[in-house]
Amino acid sequence: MEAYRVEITIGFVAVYMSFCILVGVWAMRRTRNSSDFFVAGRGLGPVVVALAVFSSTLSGFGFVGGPGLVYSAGMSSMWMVAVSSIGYALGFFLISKRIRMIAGVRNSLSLPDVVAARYDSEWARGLTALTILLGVMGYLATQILAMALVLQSILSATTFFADVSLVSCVVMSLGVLIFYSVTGGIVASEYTDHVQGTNMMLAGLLILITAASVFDGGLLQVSQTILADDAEAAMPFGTMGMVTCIGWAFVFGLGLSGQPHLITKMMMNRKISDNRLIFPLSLIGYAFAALLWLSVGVVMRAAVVGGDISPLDASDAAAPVFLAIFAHPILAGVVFSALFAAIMSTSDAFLNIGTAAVVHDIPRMLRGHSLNNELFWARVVTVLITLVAASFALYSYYENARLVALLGAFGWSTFAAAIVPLVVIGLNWKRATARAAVTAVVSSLLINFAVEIFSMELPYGVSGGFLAIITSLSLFVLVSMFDRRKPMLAADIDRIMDL
Amino acid sequence: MRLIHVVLFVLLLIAGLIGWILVSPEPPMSTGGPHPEISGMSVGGDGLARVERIFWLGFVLQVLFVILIHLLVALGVASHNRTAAFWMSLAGAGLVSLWVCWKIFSSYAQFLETGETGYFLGFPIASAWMMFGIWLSGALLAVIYVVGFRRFVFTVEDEAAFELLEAQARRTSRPTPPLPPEQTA
Repeated sequence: MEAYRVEITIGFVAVYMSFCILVGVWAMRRTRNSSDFFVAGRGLGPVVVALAVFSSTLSGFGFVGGPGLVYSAGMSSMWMVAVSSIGYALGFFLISKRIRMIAGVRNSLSLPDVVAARYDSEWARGLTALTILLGVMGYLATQILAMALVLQSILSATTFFADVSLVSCVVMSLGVLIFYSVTGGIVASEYTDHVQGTNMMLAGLLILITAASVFDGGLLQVSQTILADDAEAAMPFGTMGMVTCIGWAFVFGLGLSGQPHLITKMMMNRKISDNRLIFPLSLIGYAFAALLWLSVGVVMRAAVVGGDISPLDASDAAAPVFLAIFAHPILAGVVFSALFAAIMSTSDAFLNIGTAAVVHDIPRMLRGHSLNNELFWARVVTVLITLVAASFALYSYYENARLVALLGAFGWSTFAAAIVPLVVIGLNWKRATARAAVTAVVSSLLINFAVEIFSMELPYGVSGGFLAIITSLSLFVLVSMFDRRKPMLAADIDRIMDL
Repeated sequence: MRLIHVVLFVLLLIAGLIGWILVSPEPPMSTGGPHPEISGMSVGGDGLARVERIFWLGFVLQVLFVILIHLLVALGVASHNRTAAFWMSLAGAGLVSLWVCWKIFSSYAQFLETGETGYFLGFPIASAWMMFGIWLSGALLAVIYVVGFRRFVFTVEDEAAFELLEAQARRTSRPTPPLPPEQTA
């Protein structure tokens, strides 16, 4: 079977991509209007939503970048994983109930719709939509690039595709992504999340078992090998240090509940009482899938510092090299298809919220109503956003690596800093005002952008995202308190905030 | 003092601590450096030297993080549902989280002093507390959510009130977005 490793991997990936296309065709028949396209008609069951929540949290970064970070910096990045349970708790306690209530009562299709309803402010809607669009571009570009690079690494191992170019791989990846996202919208995404989520959990568990058997002494020997080389790498703050890690606890713990692609899923469930099941299922799913992040990273670091294998060319190669050397060919196929599943699921979720921002929210801010024939324009804009993001990805790869990094700075930490105050506090405190919401979004954009543009390196690894989230939260509360214009809540919103 | 004032107080304390950390003299390798032999890999070097000035600041920052999270969770529960049982459950979860926080830092400090560590499930004790303990802190909140769902989060009365609101919205067509043509057709 070892002789057919490449063929098996390609087979798994091909089966998965064909499955996505079939689901896209099936979902197209169930997507009759923009509500179906953006929020699946708010009719999803608890298991589908739970799988969607965790699988869109764990993007390609969790499968490629995460193990790479553990390989290069030891335990530091495990803070991102460990605090995710706290992030889910905040999301479910503070957002899931009221966002679903507002969506139900106001027929909201997007997060900016909810923000506009809560603050009765088109400015708050527009700024939220703009933040989402900027973040989506950066995120999506990195996802497309990751998908193309992994596809290239798989195909180039065959004789037929030995010289396949990155552009060709981008085109192939986009073909499936566009077809899947355009035809099925969020309905396709939610139903493939069944398979994607299961696949990711299975991959995480099997990889842990594989990783524990690489060394005779199991994970204990792995830790001891890392500790002997550099003790700090095996200790709780890794090589990146205490303040960096605690900063990540804030940005990822608090910030998880500000990720628009994730909290939009909380608008899609049929019944609010399903949250009682969705929360623990999401948590368990994420825990299984995240095992890959930890186990691959530590084993690869131990194998390299122990001299068992050669150093990697790039830290992001940790997962692919692990699969090539230590995993059974079938397991490698499962994990590669899980990786594509993670990327596809997250990309589709980003495309969905980015498209909603363009065809629904920004026109409503500018013209007072969304575009006519919203479903048609949603499909057109989905294609356009994908093509623009792919262009960014290729330009960044060949010409200017900082472009995607710059847009990426508008990713997780900007979503966290800009959106957390608006929803985590704003949906639970009646005194929060529209002026405070605008202040929070603008301050978070300014801080994140300034730190990235001027390449500022703050002492002890304090990150721009950490500064931005504490600043925006503090300003949000302070401005609301001192704003002389008291918020005038609509009767339905006022009642919802009492419940 | 209202809950939001306490949240603001904690946020301002955190901002003050970040300011303190930013002006503290920074030792070499505070955020690691390149591995001497393996390119693409970093090392932390002398742990004691790099946390000497900020160890307690880091600990207090982590404690404030735990307090902030639990205050926010309380904010997320409607005031009429914040019963004594809710506060007791939340306080219990908070104390466990603070204990986890103490164990992470005390186990790490012990290692820095002695150079020796025990292991749990294959990981050094301090790292195991970080990974499993912090995860457990969130899982405890999940238990409160699931077990107390009908008592604190979404009571039967809340559900009835929401259904009434939704029915009213359907009847009176509250300001909903204009229907796209494919819906009106």
